[in-house]
Order: sequence, then structure tokens, then C-alpha cells
Amino acid sequence: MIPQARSRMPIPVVPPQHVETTAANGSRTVLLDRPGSDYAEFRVAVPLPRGNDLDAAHADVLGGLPLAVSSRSPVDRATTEQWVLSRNAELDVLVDPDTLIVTGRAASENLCEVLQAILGSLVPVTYADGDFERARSGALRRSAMFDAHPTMAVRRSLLEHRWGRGDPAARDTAPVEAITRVEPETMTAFVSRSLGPTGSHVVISADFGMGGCADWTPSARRVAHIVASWSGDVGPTRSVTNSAGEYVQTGRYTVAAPNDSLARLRLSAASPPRSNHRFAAMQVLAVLLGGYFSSRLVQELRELRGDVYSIVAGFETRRTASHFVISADLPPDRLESVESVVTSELKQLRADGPTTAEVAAAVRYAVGSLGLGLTSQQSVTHGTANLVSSGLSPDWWTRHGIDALNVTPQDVRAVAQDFLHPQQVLTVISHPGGVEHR
Amino acid sequence: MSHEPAEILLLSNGVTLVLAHNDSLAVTVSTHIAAGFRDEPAEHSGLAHLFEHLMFQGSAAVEPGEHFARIEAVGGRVGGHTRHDYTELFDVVPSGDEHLAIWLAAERLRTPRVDEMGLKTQIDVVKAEIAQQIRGNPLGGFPWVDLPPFLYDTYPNTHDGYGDIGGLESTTVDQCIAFFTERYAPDNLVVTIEGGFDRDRSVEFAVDELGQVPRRAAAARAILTESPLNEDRHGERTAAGLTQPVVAVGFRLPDPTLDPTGYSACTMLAQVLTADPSLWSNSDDETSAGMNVRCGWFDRPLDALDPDAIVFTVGVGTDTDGARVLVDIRRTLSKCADVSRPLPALDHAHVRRALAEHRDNDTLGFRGRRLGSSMVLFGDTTAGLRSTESVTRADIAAAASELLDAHAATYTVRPGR
Repeated sequence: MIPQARSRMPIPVVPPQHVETTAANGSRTVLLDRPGSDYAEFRVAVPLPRGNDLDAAHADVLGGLPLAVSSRSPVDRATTEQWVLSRNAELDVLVDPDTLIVTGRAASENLCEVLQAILGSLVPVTYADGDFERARSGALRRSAMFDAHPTMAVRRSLLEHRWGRGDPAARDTAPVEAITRVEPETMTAFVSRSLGPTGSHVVISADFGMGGCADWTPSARRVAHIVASWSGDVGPTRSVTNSAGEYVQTGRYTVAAPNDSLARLRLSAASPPRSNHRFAAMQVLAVLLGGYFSSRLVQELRELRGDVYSIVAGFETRRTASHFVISADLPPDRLESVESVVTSELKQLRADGPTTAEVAAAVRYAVGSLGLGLTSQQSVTHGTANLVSSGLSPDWWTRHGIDALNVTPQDVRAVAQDFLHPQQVLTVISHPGGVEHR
Repeated sequence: MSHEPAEILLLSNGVTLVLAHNDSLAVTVSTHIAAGFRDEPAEHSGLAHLFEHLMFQGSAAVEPGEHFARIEAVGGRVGGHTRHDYTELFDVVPSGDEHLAIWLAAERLRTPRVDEMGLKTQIDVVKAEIAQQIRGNPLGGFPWVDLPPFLYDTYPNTHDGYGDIGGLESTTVDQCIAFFTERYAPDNLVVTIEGGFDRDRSVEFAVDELGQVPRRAAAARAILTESPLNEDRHGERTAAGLTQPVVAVGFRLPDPTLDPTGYSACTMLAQVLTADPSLWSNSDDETSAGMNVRCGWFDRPLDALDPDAIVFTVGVGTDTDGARVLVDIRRTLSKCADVSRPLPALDHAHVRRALAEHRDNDTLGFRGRRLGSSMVLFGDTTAGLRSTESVTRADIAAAASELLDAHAATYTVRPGR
């Protein structure tokens, strides 16, 4: 006999016990309790200006530079790594692309020292020549690769049509020409006007000893004090923001890709933000359409027709912009059939909506997988950081779980009608035999 | 999180059951089959991977798509991989739902659904996978597809797991069933339950369900023996969408069973070579700056039987080729072979190990899968987690000397069409 799932409907998601605060310096801190963990997982996010090519170029080079965690000057990668390892810790620095993110883990007893070093290192410093040159070369390579790679060409076209050419959200990488203009001196100026606590956030998951309630324990207070003491406010340097729909171009565009062996389909639409009460319905729509293996598109296009290896519907969320995207890379001879199925499924969802059983299954997956994901310390830290960057708190998970459980087929049909109308949808296709239509 | 030692039960039909309990809120149920792509017959190259796909098509009591639907209905995750010497199928579910995953695992091992329609569709899916993962990506399959034909000579070791499309298209249902009967026999199966499960109830249930897998003889494993390379070998191709050449260099590793110390020393050597750029800095023009060195084709040591490889990869200038990078590698290896030369990266090796262990164990499904793959490869759940703690500077020097004495294979991918 088939064992029945433990519960027919998942229990609403409960995030870890946590405390949060916004300091006078403009930074936000969220501390999640992880009883019994020997390590603290952390994520520090600092907004970066990306309003023009030169700012974007500096941000991209900055992502390749070592942090000045030790007092040695000039700062070099080897010394940084030795210092970090000697604290039983590891760090990763990246730019994504309008936020500098420092992520990593440290033995719990060294958390405060490591955090203090990270925040203290976000200041203008002198870099060892080799390290600066390597960071700039790395940024140049990434930019050139972005220009050459077929996946990136279709992505760039999609972002430029969705957000407008030159918009920060469409600048995944800076142009090569701008990166070549980045010098140690200009980097110093960029850092001094860009890196500061205002608008930044720090999310840490560690054993803060909160027990069963979300209290400010002594260890949590110590960490919050370090973040609150972070100085170096740089004033209003934030990049231009977009509200969904502001720059949207809709329609169907083709990118010629004569050297590619695949067709690449990207379909984009505006989406209500996570803070909006309709987001739950939009997420359920994404899940049942192409967000899990049992979804309509995966079952029809992969498991019944064998047209694709993967097709995904979901959200691309950034600090200042987000949208709903359906994405598939496929053999060119399958493009027509795949696009036709996608269009037809969207039309059916707008006209009739999903079935009650479909919605129930998608909700079970959406809520259940969220709960499963929160069992990992890394996932809960990164997931919280993503929420915080959208101005939300971990309590959103619980609210969202409840909202999702209440989503009806009519709600899903309504968001399909409001956000996925043909006149609101942007489709970009790259095809080896395609004729450019930008 | 505390991990109790894994418990191993051998069922009467030959299935091995591994139990690893901890206080996680998730449970991984994985099935490891001692049949990787090196075990597939030459006339059906790609069959092991194709069969991995077919194992998700259901069974006598499970309709196509139902395995996914049932696991996803509890928020769980489903996955599978075909590696050189094993295939793994796994479900990760919330604690309390492990019986569902155990039942689904047992059910497809008893009565897999293999029919014409499912086979035809999955052949198309595999073709789409090859198009997307290999042909549609400038570095698709680099270096695990590109380099083995130069590092080895025999069919099992030189061919890749995707196989030949023509051969795949001619695969019949009967051939698939024969593959299942021979390769998915109970003696070849390791089922691992890892996480926060009720031990007694789960053991009783798993023994009952998995005990119903019909006992039968397993086919002999492929013979993987290779003669030593008697010269360096070099291969090359071009790829559109690449901005600089990329070179991979492979050396054969010591047999992890016959020479565990040598293998572990190579693992440590790979870490040192990646972590310490200064070891590469006195190359004439820093050709090999940014060198990445890994044991195992998929960045995971002890994930395959012998022969396995230590693989160096690096982006280079347009005037550089594999032979030139190999000169750099040997120059750097000779520094490591000098036991009197300090290797600062060793100072914090224990910290790197502890951090990696924390990271891995925190990754959903990782530990259960690793216990199962170790068991199916080496008959020991701890083999894949074998520590490099006891490796000494002298061991590393010896490992570097061994590599210096060996021939290597290189493969270069250049920008082009």
C-alpha cells in the first residue's frame, strides 16, 4: 500500500527565532538563532551605485578585490586569506550586480572579530599591484565573455527591453571600455563615496542562545553593536530605481545567433512584488506553470513531448527590480512547438484558470519546499538576506505560507489576466537562423 | 548537528541498507547502483544515463509523473546522477515523510515501468540534454568529456556518459530491461536513509519493502584497467562564445584502494596548488596564474574507482597551448616535491577541512548521498569522507614526485567557430 504523506497540507512555514534592528547609521541587522551550530553563517550586503557605465565598471572590479581585513597595507589576497583562515572562517566577495555581497562562515567564537574586520575593511585602501590588476583583468574577461556567450546575448536583450538600455537593472556587466578606465585612484574615490552602512544589511545565522523566544541575548547584542558602530556614512549614493512597468517594452524580439547551436526562449512579464498581497497567487501560478517537475510546462514539453531538457518559470528578483520569467534553451527545430505550447498554456490560464487540484498541489510544493529549504543554515541565511534586500523580514515567510494556502484558482486566473496578457508580455528569442529584430 | 555513525544492514536478497540518523528536520533516501557509465556496453553507449531517466517513469503501482508528484506534494526534492561507476537516485523529504520515499525507491527497484512511449520520450529528453549541456555551451563537457580520450585507451574510460546519439536512438525496451536485470540486481544496490527519521519504524518498513526486490545475479563490472601512458598526449578543439583559450591537464591518480595514502596526498596536493598562487608565480609570464586543481572529474575526490584523475584547469593567452601549461605544472610540482620547501597553504589545512565539512553537511541531501556513493564504490560508508588529516609534507612531496614521473594528457579549447 502506498504510504500517505504525513499531512495532506503542509504546516505554515515558521522561520527561526530571530531579532532585527535598524541602526542610526542606516544599516539593518537580522540575527537568526541556530541552536547547536558551531559556525555562524553571515551575509553582508552593501548597495552599490550602478547608474552609469563607469560606476558599474568600478563595482565589477571591486568584486574581485580582496578585503582589507588585516592591518597590513597594501592589501593583498594572500594575507587576507591567511587572516581569515586563522579565525576559522572563510569569505566570498561578489557583486550581484548592484550590491556588494560578502558572504561566508566563521567559528562561532570568532564571529564578532570577523564581522568587525569585514565592516572595517569597506573603506578606501591601497591594493597590491598584482591583486588590483588581476581584479581588473577578471572584470574584463567576464565582460568579454558576456558579450560572446550566446546565453548572455539573449539575456542582455531581455533585460534591455524590460528595463530600458542603460538602466542599472540591465547592466549585468560593465562594458570593456569602461572597465579599462578603472584605476587604483578612481577605485579609491568610488569606495569612499559608495561603501557605507546606509541601506546596507547584515544577516547572520548562529547559536545566539535565544532558546524558545526571540530575545536580544548578550551575544546578539554584541553583534548588533558592531554593526551599529559601523561608520563611514556616504550619503545618498543609491542607484536609479525602477518600478516594474516603468520602462517595459513588450512584443517579440529575435536575436540572431549564427554561431549558436540552440534556440533560447525567454518570456518576461511584470510581477507584483513580494510585499504585495497578490504575490502569493503569482507564485502559485509560476509553480504550476513551470516551477516544479510536476508543472504543466515540464510535464508537457519534457515528459510527454521530449522537446526540452528543462524549462523554468520563476522570478528574477533584484534590489531595485524584479520580473517573472519563463526560460528554456532547446534544439532549434523544437522552438515553434515549444513557443506554441507556452502561449497556449498562458491563454488557457487567463481564460479558465487552473484546476483546484493543480492549485492545491502547487501550494503544497511551494510551502513545503520553503520549509525544507529553511532546514539548511546557508539557505536560511541567504533566503533571509534576499527578503531583507526587498525590505521584508523573516516573518514574511509565515505570512506568505498562509497567503499561499488561501490562494484559489480564481486568484491565479486573475493574476494571469492582469500580468500575462499578450500585450504585457515580452518575448526574446535567440536562434541560429534568426533574423535580428531588436 | 551531531551525526551518529552509519549503521549497515545486509538484507537477505543482497540489498545493502545504510542508516544514518541525526536531528535534522529532513530525510534523504538515496539509491546507489553499482552501474555507472563505465559499465555500459560499447554498442549501447549512454544507456546507463538513459536508464537513470527511465527510473523516474514510474513502476507497476506508480504512474508516469507520479513519483515527482508525490514527493513534491510534501515539498520534497527529487534527483538523479549517472557517474563513472555508479548511478544515484534520491529523494529529500521532510522528517516524517520518509516512508513515502522508501516505498517509491523500493517500488521502482521491484517493477520499473519501461515501455515504448517512455523510452522514446526520454531518448528525446536526453538528446535535448546533450544539446543544452554540451553543444549549447562553449565549455560544455570540459574537461570530463574532452580529456579522457587522451588520458586513457580503453572504451570504458574514454567514452562519456551521454554516449552516442545514434546508439541511443536504436535502444529497445528489451535492451533496457536486460540492463536493469543485470545491473540493478540487489547485490549492486545500496539504499541509504539519512536524517531525522524514526529508526525502528523505518528499518522495519525498509527491510520489508526492499526485501521484496527479487534476488538475481548481477553482471560482472567492466574491466577498467589501463596501461600506463608512455608519452604526453595533447588534444584541441575550438568553440564559439569563448573569449580566451582554456587548458585542462590530467594525470592519473594512485588507486585509492591499493594506495590510500598516495591518493589522499594527491587530494591535499590539489588543495595546496589551488590555494597558493605563489607556487605558480615564477612562471616566465605567469601562464598558469589562476590554476584550479581538483581530484576527480566532478570536483569530488573518491567519487570513482581506479583509474581516476587529478585535473588542472586554467585560462591562458592565445599563444599558449597544453604543452606549455604542462611545463609550468611540472615546474610547480617540482617545488612541491622538494620536501624542504615550506607550503604555507598546509598551515590551515585543518581549518579548510572543517569548513568544507560544515558546508557539505549543511547542504540538503549531501551526506546521505555521500554515504551511499562511498558504500557502493568502496564497500565502506566512510571512504568518501576519508580525511586528509594524516597526510604529511613528505607524503605530498612523494605524490608530487610520482606525478613528475608520469605522462599526462592535455586538452585545449580555443575561441573559434
